[in-house]
Amino acid sequence: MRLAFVNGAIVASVAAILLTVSGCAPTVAYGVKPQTDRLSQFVPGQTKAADILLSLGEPRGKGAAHPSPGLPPREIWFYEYVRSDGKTANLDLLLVFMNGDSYDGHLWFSSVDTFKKSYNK
Amino acid sequence: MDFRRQSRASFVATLLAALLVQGCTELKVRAGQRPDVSVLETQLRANESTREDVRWILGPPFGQGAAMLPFHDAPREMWSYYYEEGTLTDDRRIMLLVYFSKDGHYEGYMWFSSLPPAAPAVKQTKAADVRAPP
Repeated sequence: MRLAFVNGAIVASVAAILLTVSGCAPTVAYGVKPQTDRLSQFVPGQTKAADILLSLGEPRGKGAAHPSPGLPPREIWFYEYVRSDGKTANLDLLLVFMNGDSYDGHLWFSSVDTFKKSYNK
Repeated sequence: MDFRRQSRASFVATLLAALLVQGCTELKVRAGQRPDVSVLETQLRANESTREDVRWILGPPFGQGAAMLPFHDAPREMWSYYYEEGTLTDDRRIMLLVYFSKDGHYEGYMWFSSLPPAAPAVKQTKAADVRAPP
């Protein structure tokens, strides 16, 4: 009788631990990894929005840049990919600058797993 | 008697599991304050608005830094605004960078966001701008 209750408590504890470990700290990913290797195909002023959509897909968001009054404003297409295993998070961000309907430039940065490994040594 | 206790233990385990699963799926993450980017071209004026104006209209920055971009003739003070919200199934953010000229005036901005568009914000008004009717 007592053994059965202890067994039940163990089941409950194991369930709680499993859920805490695997349920609350799962590997998650948001967005789509930006295809930065395709950026070299783009030519400022010539590559059109439709070409970028075909190559990179739909952006996850938008933005704007007007860093100086002497420069014309630019629209930004925002691509991001985030993945986390509950302990570390990795991020890939790509900004594509648009001048009207045309590609005008880009900026991307990413956390790199090799850096994390060397840093943690 | 054994059966009753076993059933009770199973019930507790199931209830606990259900509560934890529900808690996990409803986990929400939120960081920073969402900046209203609509004011960047409407309420702020390049080379006219001051740091105090920016702080009043956009709120205090999330962080500060500096920028020396290719078209700059000298390094610029830069304020950053960041806001993030998400769950275990999706997570989105906005980042806004505000640049100041050498003499400390608002010069420009860059922002990008994966958040859904925000509802129009109520325009903030400086106390000094509120004038009594003649």
